[in-house]
Order: sequence, then structure tokens, then C-alpha cells
Amino acid sequence: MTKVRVRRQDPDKRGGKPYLQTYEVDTPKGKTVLDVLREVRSSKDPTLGFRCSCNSAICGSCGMRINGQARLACSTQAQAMVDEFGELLIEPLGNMRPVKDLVVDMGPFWQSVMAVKPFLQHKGKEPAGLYPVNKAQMDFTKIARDCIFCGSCVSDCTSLEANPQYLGPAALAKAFKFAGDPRDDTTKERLLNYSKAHGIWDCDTCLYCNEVCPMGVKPMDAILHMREMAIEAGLVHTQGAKHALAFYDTVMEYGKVNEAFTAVNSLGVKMVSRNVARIFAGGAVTGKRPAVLKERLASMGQVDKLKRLVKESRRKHRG
Amino acid sequence: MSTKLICQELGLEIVELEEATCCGAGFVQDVDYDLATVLNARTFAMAEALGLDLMTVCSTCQYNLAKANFELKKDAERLAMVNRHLAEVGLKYSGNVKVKHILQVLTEDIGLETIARHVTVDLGELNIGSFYGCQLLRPSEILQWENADNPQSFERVITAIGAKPVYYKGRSKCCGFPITFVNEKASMTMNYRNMAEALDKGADALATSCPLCHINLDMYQRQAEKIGGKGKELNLPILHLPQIVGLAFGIDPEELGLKRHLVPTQNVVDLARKKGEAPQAAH
Repeated sequence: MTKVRVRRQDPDKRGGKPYLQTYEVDTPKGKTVLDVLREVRSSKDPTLGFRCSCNSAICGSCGMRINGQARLACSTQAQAMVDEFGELLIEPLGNMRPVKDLVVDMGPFWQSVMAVKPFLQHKGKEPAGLYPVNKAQMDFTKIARDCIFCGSCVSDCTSLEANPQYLGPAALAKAFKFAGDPRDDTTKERLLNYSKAHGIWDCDTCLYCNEVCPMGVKPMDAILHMREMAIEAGLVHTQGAKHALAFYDTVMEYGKVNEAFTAVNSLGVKMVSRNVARIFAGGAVTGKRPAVLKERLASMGQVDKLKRLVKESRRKHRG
Repeated sequence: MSTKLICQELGLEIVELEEATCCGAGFVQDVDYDLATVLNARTFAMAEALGLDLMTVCSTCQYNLAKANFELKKDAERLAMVNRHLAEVGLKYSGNVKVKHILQVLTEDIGLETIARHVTVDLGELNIGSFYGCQLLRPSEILQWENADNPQSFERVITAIGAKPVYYKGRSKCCGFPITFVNEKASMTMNYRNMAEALDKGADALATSCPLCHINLDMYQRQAEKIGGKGKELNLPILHLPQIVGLAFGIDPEELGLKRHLVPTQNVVDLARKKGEAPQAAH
């Protein structure tokens, strides 16, 4: 028998405080975590709350934290988890308020998704027949198209954990699906909105979203695509874009990072003197300091040439 | 400098690619993804011409280089695009270079037994929390070495050098560095929470595999206390992975750069002592 610990929470019990309850269940090979939960509910404890539906990893209902990471209960083998972690620990998704046991409030999740306008915005006359789109154009957004809204990426997003106002990976992956769609006529408007505070530049690139998505969606890659698109569209006045450009400029000038120049170019002299300079000054005392001046690489001629070639080939490619 | 010293001790010869460009750190990628890939392929071509694999000492370099390499090895069309450009500067990349972080080299190539044989200092009193940094572990599809949701390599190295590993959830979370300039409050909140959790679990110090994590955890620790911890002090020494290994190897702490940190590392140095020496009074 395997000891299964479930983090439970019931507004009507124990003052709504979370607690761990242990159940003993057999976990032979082939039995999923969802099978375990169903067994507990049907034969041991009918009060255990969790969501599930399709049992085929397509409806997205049974997202939960299993041994510390968001997973779908229906596609996670129970014994494999026990083998790896020495136990089976089941908790509600993170970054969402538990309503009862493993059921979380998805309200804020849907609000974020709706905030990115997750629908095609076509201006002008609709085409009479089909709207032909070439394969390469659609392949571009493939990384965002298989989302089943299970909430796994949102659960484990470390930016969201520190900043609940952040739009989050699921909403931004959805945003990319439309920002990158050639049939949508509001790309720049979208990028402007997504560039605002708590949008694409607030992603800390921790990669949890890409890692935990059970469908192979890559929200972080989608966010990075939108950053590049925003800069290309001239949306360069956000702090995030300014920092990326300052970093890029330094690398293009020296081949390497020049932390002090990057900070000044990114934050502006005023901010640096107020904030970062104090930290750098502390470093000057102990000897830990950013490189202020670095010589250009001897081979910067190669870098300059490659930069020019990549730009030219992109221009040619786009006609 | 600590990397060079421990590699020397372990008999690992390092050839520095002095003309390699920055990996892009994700920021060059934000501006021009294709150019970042081409520049990283230029670095691979340099290593390949020397018949060498690449070793990184930074989680961010590891991810950005490994990702470029992964895409080039997987996508012949992309490799051809890159090589068309590289040919113009007399270079070629055939896709034969491996990119490994020093933690991977220590565990896979050097081996824990060899590491343990070089230990001359007793770190038995030290409780060290690992700080992996996000981009050394995720996405596992690209990095292809550790179990991203339950990594153990760092803890194995800490055990091999005679210290005690401290497990805490934040060890594989974000230090906050990438958004320090964008959302300082969120960045410092992450920073503080990870360190406070490690302290709570008994860590005397953290060791990190990423210099960018080091910047946030060490240089910004006072900010983290102020913004993330509402003034609560941490005073948690943050060491680079090669520094803690070097300390166990008996390398002079000053040569390892341990006096150049913003958060003093003296308590770590004090707890380390030559094997066989009597324990010192606690500081």
C-alpha cells in the first residue's frame, strides 16, 4: 500500500485552514494519480474534492500539483511518482486560491485570458471564401495552439508567484496565437497592450511554463517572440525593451557584456545613480564590481559582418 | 578565477575562447533571435575547429547556448542558414559540439569520487543550500541532463566535498535577476523568499551555479531584505559553485574571491578547517 498525502482545505472545516490527510491506496503499474483520487473518493472518503472529466489529457480539468510540480492527474503514473520522490503528495495548483481541497478558483485565470482579447480581430471586409494562410505563417504560432487551459503553467509561474497582477503564461501564450496570426489586423495594438506593466516584459524567463505544460505548449517562447515583435514594431519605450536594447547594443559594440554601460543605457543616469550605483559602490569596497570598460573583441569585424548579413537576409526574405 | 583554480586542481585543462561573444543572455535574443543564434553558432564553430566541447560556468549561458545548439542539431535548414552566414567570415559549424555546465562536467566527466579525493578541508559543519538557477534545469527537453523537477547533481557535489546539502523548494526557482530592471518589487520578492526559505531550513550559505543569480542574491541582498522582506535581515553568504568546491580543496579563500562579496563570507571560511584540526569556537 502506498501512503498518499493530499493537501485539503474546506471553508467549513478547521476554520478553512489547509491540512494534509493521508490515505492508503495500492498503486500498481498503470494506475494514474486520477485513478488513485477516484478510488479514495469512491471507497474511502466521499468528501474529497477534485475536478476531472475526460481521463484522456485533453479537457484540462485535473491539473494539480503532484510532488511539487503541476501535472495532469490523469496522465501521471502514481507509482512512477512514488519511485522518484519516495511518496505521493497531491496539492492544489499554485497561484490560485483553493476553493475546496484540490479545486481552485480559476476566476482570475479566465480574467487574464480574456484581458488579452483571445479572438481574431479582422478589420475591413471579410474574404468571400476561405482565408488562405501559408503553412510557415501558421507554424509560427504552433507553440501556442495546443493549450487546454489546465492552469499548470500558471500554477508554477514564479513571476506570478511574486506579482499576482502579471498576466501569466497561459494568457500570454493565447495572446501570441493571435498576435502572430496573419489574419489578425490588430497586431501592433495587441503588442502595445501586452507591453504594458505586468505583460510580456514581466516574465522572468524561469521556463517553468515550458517545462510543466502537459501539451508541449511553450508559453515562454511565445512571450519572447512577442518581445522581439514589439521591438521590431518600434515599441521600445518600456523598461523591458530599453534594457534588452541596451544589452544588445553593448554586445554589438564590444562583443561582450559591459554591465555599467548596460545599466546606464537601460535605466538612465538618474535611476542608476539613485539605485544601482549604491550597489556598485558597495562592490567597489569589496572588489566585486561590474566591468566598466572592456576592450572590443579583436574579431568584432566578424560580428559586425554577421549582424549585417542576418539583417539583409531577413529583408530579402520578407521581400 | 575560482573556476580556473579548481579545474587546475582537478587536472582539467581549459582553453578560453577569447574571441567568443556573449551568449546573448536572452536579451540579444529579445531584439534579434536569428542573429543571437548565428553568433552562438560562431562560438560553436570556434570550439569545433579546436576539437573541443564547450564548458559554461553560468546557467544563463548554458541555456542560451544549449538552445541554439539544440535547434541547429534538430533543424538542418536552420543549420544551413547559419552556415551560409558563417561562410562569409570563414567559419563552419557541423553540429558536433556539446555544451556542458561546470556542474555537469563535475558530476559526469570528473566524477564525485575524484572530487572527494581532492578534498583536504573539513566542511562537515557547513549546511549548504544549492541554487541551481532556472536555466540550468529547464527546459529538460533542451538541457537534457538533470531531472528538472527533482535535481540532485548539486547536492551530490556538496555531499562529495563533505558539506551537508540543504533541500528547499526555492533551489530551482527564479532568483529574480532577469526582471530586476523591469519590476524590482517582484524580483526582490522572489529573491527574498528563496533566501528566507533556505535560512529557515538551516542553510549557513547558498552555492549557486549562475553568476547572474549571484548578482541578485549577493549584490542585491540588502534590497531584497528591504523590499521583499520588509526590512528583515538575511545575511546569507552566497558562494559560486567553484568557490565552495575550492574551499574544500584547501585553496586560499582570498584567491577564490571570497572576500569580494557584498555579503561577508567569513562565517563559511571559519566553519571550514583543515582535516584533523580541532573544531574552532563558533563565530
